[in-house]
Order: sequence, then C-alpha cells, then structure tokens
Amino acid sequence: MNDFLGYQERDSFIHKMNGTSKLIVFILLTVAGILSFDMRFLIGLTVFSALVLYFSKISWKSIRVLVYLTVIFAVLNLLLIYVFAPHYGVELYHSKTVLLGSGYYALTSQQIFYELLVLLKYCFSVPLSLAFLLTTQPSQLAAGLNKVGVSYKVAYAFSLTLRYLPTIQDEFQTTRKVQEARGFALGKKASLGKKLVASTRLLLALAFSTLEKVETISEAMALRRFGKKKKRTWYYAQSWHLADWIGLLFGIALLALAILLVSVDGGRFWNPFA
Amino acid sequence: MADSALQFDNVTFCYETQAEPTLKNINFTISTGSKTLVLGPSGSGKSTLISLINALVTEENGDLSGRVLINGVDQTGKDPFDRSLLVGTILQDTDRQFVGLTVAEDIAFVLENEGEPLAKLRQAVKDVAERFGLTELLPLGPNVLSGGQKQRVALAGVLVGDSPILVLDEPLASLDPKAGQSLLETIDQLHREGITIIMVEHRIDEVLRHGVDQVLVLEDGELVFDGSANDLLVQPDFHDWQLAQPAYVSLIEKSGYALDDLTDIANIAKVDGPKLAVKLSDFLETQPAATAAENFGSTALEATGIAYQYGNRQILTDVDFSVQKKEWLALIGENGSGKSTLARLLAGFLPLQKGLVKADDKDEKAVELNDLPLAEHAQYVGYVSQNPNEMLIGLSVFEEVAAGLRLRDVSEEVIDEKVLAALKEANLYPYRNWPSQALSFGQKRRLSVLAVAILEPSVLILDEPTAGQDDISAKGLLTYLQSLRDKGLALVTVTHDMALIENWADRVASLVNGQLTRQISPKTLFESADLLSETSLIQPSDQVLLERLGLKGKERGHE
Repeated sequence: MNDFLGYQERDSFIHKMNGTSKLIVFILLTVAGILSFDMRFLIGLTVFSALVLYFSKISWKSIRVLVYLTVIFAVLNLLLIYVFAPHYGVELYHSKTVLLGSGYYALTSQQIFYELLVLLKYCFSVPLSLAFLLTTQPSQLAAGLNKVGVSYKVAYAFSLTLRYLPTIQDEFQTTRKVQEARGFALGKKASLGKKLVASTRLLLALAFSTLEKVETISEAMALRRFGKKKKRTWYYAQSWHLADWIGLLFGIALLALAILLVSVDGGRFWNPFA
Repeated sequence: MADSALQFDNVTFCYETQAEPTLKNINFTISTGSKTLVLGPSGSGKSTLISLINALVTEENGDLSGRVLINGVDQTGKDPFDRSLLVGTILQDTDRQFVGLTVAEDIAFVLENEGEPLAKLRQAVKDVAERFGLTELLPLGPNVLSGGQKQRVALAGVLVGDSPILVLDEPLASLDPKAGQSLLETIDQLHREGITIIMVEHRIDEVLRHGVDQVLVLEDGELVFDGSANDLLVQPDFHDWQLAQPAYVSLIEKSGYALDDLTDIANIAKVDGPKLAVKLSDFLETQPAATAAENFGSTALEATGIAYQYGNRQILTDVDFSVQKKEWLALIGENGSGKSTLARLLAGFLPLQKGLVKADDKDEKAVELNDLPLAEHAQYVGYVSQNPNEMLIGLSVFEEVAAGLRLRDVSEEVIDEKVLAALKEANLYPYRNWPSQALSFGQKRRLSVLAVAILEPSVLILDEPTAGQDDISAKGLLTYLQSLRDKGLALVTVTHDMALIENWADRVASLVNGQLTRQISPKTLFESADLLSETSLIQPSDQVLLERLGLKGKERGHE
C-alpha cells in the first residue's frame, strides 16, 4: 500500500494509537483550530501538529507533492484575499497602521496580521490531516467511524473504496491506453473539445464496469453474511491504551482552551492592536 | 435421507425478467462428503443452479417450483443469510471476493459479521491460517498475492465459518495450471476431512486428475447427465454437450480405439484397455512428422535489448524477441515473470526504458516504434487485454469496430464494407446493432479482438485470450484468430492455456525471472519437465498417458 495518500506502515506511538481515539482527537483539534482566530493559540496548535507529523515518521517524499500543492493554493488564497479585501484586517481590528504605499491597496499591519492567521490555519490543518490519514489503517479508521456512531455499512463502504481504488486505477489506465490506441484523442496533441468527449466516454465505460464490479463484491459480501446483524465486530479494532487517553486529554484541553480564549478575548479574534 | 447433503426435487426456476425458465425440472441428490463436478456450456443454467444452492437467488427473484433440500431440510421460505451457515461459496473472480484490506481481515470477515468477540476472531483466524498455510501472509494485502494464494484465502475465509458444504464456481478460471493443481489438492484435503464439495469448472482435464465422485451436466437448463466420470467420458452424446474432452481421451479417440473397451477411463493414472498401447503406437506412426523450423514469412516485429524496471525491481533484463509473419507465438511464464509487462511494452502501452522495437509496415520496411504516439503504434502492433471491459466503451457492436477506422478518416463506404465483413467472419453479424455491453463474455472477447484487428496491424498481442471462457467460445475465438493469421498477421498470445499452446501455437517463448529463454516448439516445451515447472505449467494429459505406456518420443516423429 504505497499509493497516494494511502496508509503507511511505521513504528510510532501515533500509529499505535487506536483509530477511534485518533479520529476523536482529530475532530476536537480541527474544531478548535477553526473556531479560534487567536494568533497565540494557532501558533501553539501549528507547533503541536508539526510535532505530531514529525513523530509519525511519515517520509517527506510521500507528502511532498501534496505539501507543494497546498503551499501554492495557500499563497493564491492570500493574494486573492488581498486583491478583493485589502481592508479586511483594518475592519476587524478597528485600527489602521499603514506600512507601505497609500490609497486602496495600502499595506497595513492589520491586514498582514489577518492573512498570517489564515496561513496558520493551513499550517495546522494540513500536517494534522496528513498525520491522521497516513497513520490510520483504513480498516482501523472504519472501525473508529463505527465506534463513534457511523453505521457500519457506511464505515465499511469507506474502507472498501480504499481497498478497490488501486484496482480501478489500473483498469482506468488500460482503458485509456486502449482508446488512445484506437485513435480516440487523449494524447497531448489533442484539442480540448475532443479530449473532453473522449474522456467522458471513458469515464462512462469505467462507471459501467465499476457498477458490475460492485455487484459481484456485494454478492460476495452477502454470501459471507455482511448485513445480517445490527452490529458487527472488527478484526482491527484496538483496545484503549495510555497514549489514547493522553491524546484525548490533549484534544479536550486544547478545545477547552480555544473556547476559553473566545471569552477572554471577547470574541473569536484576539486583538493585539487594541 | 440423513446422508444427503443436497437434493433438488423437481426444481424449475424462471427469473422475473425472463419468459423461459432457466432451469427445468431438475432432480438430483448429492450425498454428504462427496465431490461433485457440474459441467455445461455458458448459458446452460450452471450459475443459476449455484445461486439456488447458496441463496443468492431465491423465490423472491422469480418463479421457483419444486424443493431445494439441504441436509434433508426444505429451504423454502428460510432466511437467505442463514444459508451461508450451511453452504460456503468460492467465486471465480479472485480479486472481487477479497473484501478485506489484508489476508487476516478477509478471513475474519464472516465472524466479524456475526459479531464475534475480538479474542475469538483472532484465535479463529490464527487457527485457520495455520491449516491453510497462510500464516505468513496474514498482514499482506491482495495486491501482492498471486491468484492461487487469493483462492486459498477465499477458502480459509469461507471455512472459518464452518460451512459443511462448499460450492466453488470456476475456482481455476484465473489460475495457471500449477496453481490450479495445488488448489485442487487443497480441495481434496477438505474433501477427505468430510466436507461436501460441489464444483463448477470447464477445465475437466485438470479436475479429473484429482478424481470426482459424481458429475452433473446441464444443457439448456436441463440436467442431461447425472453419473460417474467414467460413464460421462464414454457417453455417445459427449461432444454434443460442448464440453472440453480431456487431451488423453481425445488422443485415444482419434487413434480409432473404442472408448467402451477402456477400463478406468476417467483416471489418467490407471486408464487401460486390451492392446491400447499397440493401437496408439500404430496411430502415432501414421501421423505426419512435424516439419522442423517451419518457414514463416519475414519478420513482423523485432525487439532488441528490452529492459524494464519498476521501482527497485528489475522486471525484464535484456530481452530479445521477434515474431514472424503468419507465426503464432505463445508467450508463457509464471505469475510475475514479466510476460504481461513485455506484451505491454511491445504494444506501446508502457514506455520503453531501454531497447528498441521495430515492426514491418505493409511494404516490408522496418519502422522504429519507440517514440511513436500510441495511435500510430497501434497500426503496427495491436493489443487485446484480457478484460473486455477495458476494451469496449459501450457503443453499438458495429460502432465499436468502426471507431478505430472512423478516427483515421477512412471513408464511410470502406468502413461499412470492412466492418460488416469482419463481423460476419467473427459470427457477430446478427448482433451488429446491439450495445456491446449486452453481449456474452465470449462474444465481447471476440468483439474486442475485432476492434483492434480492423486496423490491420502486423502483429496482434492478446493477453490470456481463452481465460474464463467455455470450450466452444474459446474455440470460436481461436478459429477466428487463425483465419487472421492465415492472412499474414503475426499472433502473440500471453497464455497458460495448455490446449492453446499444444494445439494452436507454432512456437513458444518463455520468460523465466525476467529473461527470455530460447523460442522452441510446443512439443519441446512439453518434453522438458524443468521448463514446465519454471513456467507454472504441467504435463498435458496425453503426454502423461504416452509416458506411462512407454510410447513417449514416438509421437509425430522427431525434429
């Protein structure tokens, strides 16, 4: 399983944590990070998620592409915020300190401060999501989802999708090549319109054969009593260990801190310019 | 009837969507602990029969009359989920029945669904894995397992639930002959442990090597034979049922020996009859000697110094390969030997890392293919994948074939003429206006060959052309391929179908550990026990018989 965004087998205490506890901690921290616009808190959270990613022993090579993409996206996002709302920071913090230039696009420290906050949101959420996704085996994730109340059929469908993704990818590649060989324009030289028509047809064909596959798979599952009972157990279910409880405490504490800061700051934004 | 595991009592079944019943007045009894082989061409009702046994199909899916009894108990109105407590099922598609992410999880699946506690799951998986020799594979995923290993996991996953009846729907379909024999041995072991085995399988020759207690033959929804394998093979109607005759029986029949005079005809280790050896020996001497190194046309495709690496794994090392016009070459090798990689490289489906591929154009001029776009490459080398779903895109049958020509700006009159002629030759003409998805598996395979061959390439490469087809549709496809070859096309078939290699191919090239061995005749291949073993093949049954009778080397003269 060395696929893009697939689970990576490593020996780390984060891998050893239980799927359910990891899922809960992940949700708690994400909520805390989305809730808070307190610079101090977000810096802390970013450091925390960077540490989590570091301890999970994920190789840089496997996440490189995704990180680059996120950086490009984040920079684009920041630029666009500046283009469309150069005064947003000023409005938020009720003060204006011009650093550079003048007029509508004058650069203010309030705007920089606000855009840094947005950047920090990327900086905490991307490492955290990566650490969560890449250290949680899909079956453990499914077991975890089921534990927190998601129906086991939905949870299993999720892990089954990950199981069949490589197969479907392979089939798609061959179908694509076959159609290219027949002369359907899919190569680099083809015009966009032709490519679109050919790709649509290709996706339809893939959908057909995937549906057929789903039918066989669901038959195979029914033959082995999937869906018979209201509950099922999970081979990869894990018991709770000390690390899980500690993780959970961290999650709760950080969310509580975020909520506390909202009331101390008198709102979601902490204002250092006041 | 305490000793009957399964009984069909006058069963007739008609699907809701169909006018004609799929099964008509079926009566048979299978006794507990026996091994039964179910035969019949595609569309004879075998799948429906299996589905009625494992409750994938019940009275809710159509009109069911008569009774299905399991262990003497009428199953009418019972919960289909409970049927799997009595009957375990193995499907032919090794990939799709693997639902877990790892071997361990897949084995545990039944017990998970029963809500068994974790400790019991782990113990049961451990025990059954030991029994099937899967312990070391437990943490692995399906993408690194061979077809044989996946079938073994499927067996373990079904038997962990203690089903006393085991139903297997073409379990050998995606296995090479060696893996097939090994799976059959495992099935034998279960049979000895008292499990009732019911197996649908086209590959009679291979199944009979392990013996069966009872054979059922279905034809057009009717049970036309219920008896022993010995009786089956001497039935005068045998050929009418469109079944694949074991190679050794074909040989004996061709020699003019009366099959009725044989004893133990179904057992290749024992079969004999008065003066059988003499008759066979006489027959072999009258056979024309195979012409050594047959003279084919000029070179159709030549590849030199091909190497391919995937990650850190060297898949092909310095392979030289050539095929002549009008030559039929079988490319063999065990799983992972690199034969599919080589086929895809030659067809331009994978980028060449090292080496040179050249093909002859219509004027017999060698053209370098290395950097051609795929659409141009395909005018020299056509590739047909083993999965027709990868080949067809849901157009009408006519359009599927015409598409390649149309995209190359051929005039409509020429397209009409060429496509209709090809459809007629491949026996697909009556279906020309059907959507391609509505065809049977065998027809789809023929259609996908047509869609590629219509571009008139110099070489046609086919991946496992006969896999998963019954005898009659496999022969239909091979006959059509032969007609293409006779017109000057070179054929390369990646295969482990022994009948194809023995009866249709001119030469054999085998890949062992990423290296191509010498191109040899099929006869030489079947004489080399080492090479057979290295390429996951087994000795054909006619050769086994001749060897036992001391006639080996007499056949068809020496080159």
